[in-house]
Amino acid sequence: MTEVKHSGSQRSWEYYLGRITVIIVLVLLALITLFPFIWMFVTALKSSSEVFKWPIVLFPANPQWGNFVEAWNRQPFTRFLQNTIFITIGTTLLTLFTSSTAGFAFAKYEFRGKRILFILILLLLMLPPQVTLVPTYLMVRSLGLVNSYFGLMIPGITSVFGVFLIRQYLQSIPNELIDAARIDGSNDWGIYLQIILPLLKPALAVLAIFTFTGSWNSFLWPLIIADSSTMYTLQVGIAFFSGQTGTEYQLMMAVAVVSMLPVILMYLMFQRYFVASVALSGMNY
Amino acid sequence: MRSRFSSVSQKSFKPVTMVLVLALILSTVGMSFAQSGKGLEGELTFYWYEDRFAETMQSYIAQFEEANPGVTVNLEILPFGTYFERLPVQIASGNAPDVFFLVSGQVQNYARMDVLADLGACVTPEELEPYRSAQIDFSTYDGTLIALPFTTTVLTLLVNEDLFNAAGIEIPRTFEEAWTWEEFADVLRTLKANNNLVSAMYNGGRDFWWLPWFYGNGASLFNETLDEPAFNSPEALETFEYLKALTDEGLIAVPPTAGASAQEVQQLFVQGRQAVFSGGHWDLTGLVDAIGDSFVLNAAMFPVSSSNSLALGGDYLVVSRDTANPELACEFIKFLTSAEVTQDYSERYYYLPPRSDVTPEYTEHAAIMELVASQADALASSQLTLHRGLPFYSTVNSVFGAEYQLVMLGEKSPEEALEAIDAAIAQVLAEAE
Amino acid sequence: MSYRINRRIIPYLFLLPCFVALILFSFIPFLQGLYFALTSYPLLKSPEFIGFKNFERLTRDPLFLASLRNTLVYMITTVTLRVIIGLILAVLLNIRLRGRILFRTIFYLPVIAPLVTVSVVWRIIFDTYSGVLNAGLDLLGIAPVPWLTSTAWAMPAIVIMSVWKTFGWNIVVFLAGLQSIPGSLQEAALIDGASRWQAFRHVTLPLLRPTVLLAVVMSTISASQVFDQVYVMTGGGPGYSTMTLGQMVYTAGFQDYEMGYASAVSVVLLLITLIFTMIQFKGFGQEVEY
Repeated sequence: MTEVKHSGSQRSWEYYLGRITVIIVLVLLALITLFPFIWMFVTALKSSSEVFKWPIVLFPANPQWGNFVEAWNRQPFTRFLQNTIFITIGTTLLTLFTSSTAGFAFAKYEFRGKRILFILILLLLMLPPQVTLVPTYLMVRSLGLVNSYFGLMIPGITSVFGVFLIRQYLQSIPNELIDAARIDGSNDWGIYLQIILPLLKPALAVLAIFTFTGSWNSFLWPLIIADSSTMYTLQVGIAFFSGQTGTEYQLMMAVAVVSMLPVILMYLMFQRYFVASVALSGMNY
Repeated sequence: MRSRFSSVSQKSFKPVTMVLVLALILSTVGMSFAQSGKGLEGELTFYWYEDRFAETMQSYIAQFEEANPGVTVNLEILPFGTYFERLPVQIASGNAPDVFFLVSGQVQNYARMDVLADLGACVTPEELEPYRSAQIDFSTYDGTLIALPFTTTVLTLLVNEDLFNAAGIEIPRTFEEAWTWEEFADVLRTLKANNNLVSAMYNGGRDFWWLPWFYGNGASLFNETLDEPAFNSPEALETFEYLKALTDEGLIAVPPTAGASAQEVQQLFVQGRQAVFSGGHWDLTGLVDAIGDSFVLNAAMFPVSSSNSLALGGDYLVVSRDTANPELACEFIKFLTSAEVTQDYSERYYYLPPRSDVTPEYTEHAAIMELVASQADALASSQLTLHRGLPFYSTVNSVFGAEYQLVMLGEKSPEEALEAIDAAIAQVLAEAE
Repeated sequence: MSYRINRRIIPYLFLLPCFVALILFSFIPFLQGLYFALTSYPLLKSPEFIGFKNFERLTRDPLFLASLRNTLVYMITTVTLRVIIGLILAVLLNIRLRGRILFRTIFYLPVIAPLVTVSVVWRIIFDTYSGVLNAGLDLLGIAPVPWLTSTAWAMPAIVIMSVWKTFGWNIVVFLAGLQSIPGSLQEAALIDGASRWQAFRHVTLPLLRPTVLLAVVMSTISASQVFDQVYVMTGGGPGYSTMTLGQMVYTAGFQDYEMGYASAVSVVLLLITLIFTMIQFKGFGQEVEY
C-alpha cells in the first residue's frame, strides 16, 4: 500500500486542506461523470416535445413514467431481454473456459511454438472489427449457425485479453502447488479443475465483468446474425427507436436505462475482486 | 427501353374454383386481386423497415395471402438506421430475403452488383405505363426491369405561415408564383429581420436537398454521356456563392451533423425560431405532432432559376436473384405496387404515388400535398433523378456532401470544392471502368 | 513411452478450445481480410484479385490522408488524456478516503455503458441549439459552441466523449499497479525527507512503469479502432474533420460497397497500431526488467 500513514499528532491544517481539495475534485469529477447518465434518465421522463425544448427542460414538470411501459411494449423487449441474458451468460461461461485453459497452458507448460502462438493471439487483438465482419459472417453461415444462439455468441466465445490476463495471473502463482498435486497423483485436467480454477477466482471475476459487459452491449453482430426478430437482443431492439423520420429519444433512453441495470448489478457484485486481480496479473512482463 | 420487355405469355386460367369465388367476394369489398386464381404457392421472406409501417404492411400481406391460399409471406421489419448494414451482409453470404425494399439511390447500385432478379417476365410494358418515366428509368438496369417503384418523394419547402404573415410575405403556391433566387434571398432577409430568428431557413441535410439548387441553376455532376465530371462550371460556382452568401448572412443554418435525427434538425423550425424548413412530405405527421398548435404549417413552391431542379426519391421493391420462388415474389411486388395498395399507402403516410392512375385523397394536409404533387410535376429533374441513381453515385455523394459542408463553413473556397468534387468524380468513373 | 507423448500433447489440448474459436472466427476471417485488400470486392459480388492497386489508390485518396491524420490526432490526444487523468485519479483514490469505493464505481460506470447509446446521449448533450452543455455555457455568459457542426470543435467533442467513456478503465489499472507497490518503499522515501511529490516522482512512478505500459498499449489499441462514437455523433463530418480510419473502413465497405478498398484501409490501420505498440514497448521496454 502506498498510503502514507500519519499519526494523529502530525496532522496539520495542510493535511486537512489537502484532503478537502481532493474530495472536492473527486466530487466534481464524479458529478461530471454521472451527468450523461442523469441526462439519460431525465430524457427518459420527458415528453417528446421536451427533449429539444429551449429554454432547456432540466427536469420535466410532469415526468412521463409511462414512457418506460410504452417503450418496453413497443417491441417484444421481454423476449429480447431473455435472449440477451441467455447469450450473455453463454458467452461469459464459454469465454471463462476457453481463456482459462489457454491461459493455463501458456503460464504453466513449455511446448513448441509457445512464443509464436502467443504473439499470434496478441496480433488478433489489434484487428479492426469492421473488416472481419463479413468473413466471420460467411464462416458462421457455412457452419450453419446463422440465427442460432450459438451463432450470436460466437465472436465473444474466447477473449485474447482474457488469455493474457489469466496467463499473467497464473505466472505469479508458484509452481509448487501444481507439483505437489501431481505427486499426489492428480492428472492435468484434475489440476486445472481442482487447483487452478479455484485460484483463478478473482481473475475470472474480472474477465466475467469484461465479457458480460461486452456481450451485453454488443450491437452490430447480433443485428446481422439474428435473422428473425425472435432472436434480437436488447441493443438491437433499442435501434428501432431511431427511424427515418425521427428518433424517439425518450423511449430509447427509457429502455437504455433499464438495459444498463443488469450490467451495473453484475459490476457491483464482482467489483471487490476487481483491483486486486488486475494488480496481480498486470505486472509481470 | 420499355419495348424490350417481352410480353408475358398468358397463363391458362384454371376452371372456376374456390379461389375465384373468394376473389369475387373480396373484389366487392373494393379490393382487386389481378393475380388470384393463378394457383400461386410457396413461402417468401420480405424485408421492410420501421415499426410504424409494420401493421399496415402486415395487412397488405394478409390480403395477398387470402387471395392466394398456399402462400405465406414472412415480414421482417428492420430498423431503418441499420438496414443497409444487415441487408448487404446477408446478400453477400447467399442469405438474401426473397423480396426487399431499396431506397432510390441504391437500386442501380444493387443491380450493378447483379443481385436483383429480372422482372421482365412477369411485368408487361403496359403495366409500366402508369408510372413516372424517370422512376421506370431508375428501375431499369442495362435494359432489364429490376425494380418497381412503390412511393415517390420530392423535396418539400415547409414554411411557418405565422412568421410569413407577420412579415407580410405571400407564400407562392404555384409554379407561376414561385420566387426567383433573388426574391427568395429577400424573403429570407425580411423573415429573419422581422421575426428576430436564429436563422431564416434550414436547408436540408444532404444531397437530396442540396443538389436541386445546383441542377436548378443548370449545373450537373456528370456530362451528358455520363463518362466525365462536369460539376466544375460557372453554374455550380454561382450556386455555391449564392448559398454561401445566404449562410454567411445567417439566413441559412449551417449544415447539421450527419448523425443528427429529424428532431435535432427540426427543433428550431418547430420552436418557431426558423421560418423555412427544407424537408419532406413523408415527415408531415411527425412534424405536425411536434409543432402542435403553436403555428400553422404550410408549404411553398421551391424557388426557380433556369432549369428543372428536384430529384424524385422514393422506395422501390425488388426481388432477390437467389429467390427460390421468382414468380411468386414478382407477383407479390406487383400486388404491393398495385393501384389500390399504392393509394392506401400514399394516403396513410403522405407519399406521392409513383403511378398516374392513382389519386390519393389525403385526409389531412391536403393543400400541402397538392402543392407537393404539382411541384413534382413542374420541377422534377429527370437528369438529377437519373444521376442520383447511378450505380457509383454513393461515393460521389459522400465527397459532394463533405465539400458542400466545408464551403458552407468557410473552410474551403467554392472553387477548391468544385475541383475536389470533379477530381473525385473522375476517380470514381475511372474505378468504374 | 505413451506417457511422454501424452505429456507433450497436454498443453495443446488445453489450448484447443481457445484456438479452434480463434482460428475459425478471428484468424481465417483475418487472412480473408488480408486477401480482400488485394482484390476489387463490391461486397455483393465475388472478389477479384487486383494486386496492390487498392494501396496505390490510398496514396492518392485525400479522404485517406485526412482520416490518417485525424486518427493519429485522436489516438494521441485520447490516450494521453486517458492515461494522465486515470493516473491522477488513481493516486487520489489510493489515499485512504471515506467513499473511495463509491468514487471508483462511479468513474467506472461509463466503461460498462453501451457505446452506441451513450454516443446518442452525448450527441444530445452537444447539440448546438438546445444541448444542455451549451445551456450551461449560456449561464456563464459564453456563446453557444457549435460542437458537432464545426470543423474546429467536432474532434474535441469526440475526444471529450471518448475520454469520458474510457478513463475509468485506466483508473482501475493504475490502482491495481499502485497497490502492488510495497508501501514500505514510499514510506522509506518520506522518512528520508523526500516531499510527497518527490516520493511519487522518484519512487512510485518508476515502479509504475509496467502498468503505464499496459495502460498505454491497451488504450492505443482501442483508440485506433474508434468508430461507433464517430458514426453516431458526426458520421465523419463536418467535411472530413472527424473522418477516422475506422469510420472510413465502414464508409468504404458499407456505403460504397468497396470491401476490397475497405480491407486495404484496415490493413493500414493494423500496421499503425502495430508500429505504435512496438514503439511503446521499445520506449518502456528496457526499463521494465527489474
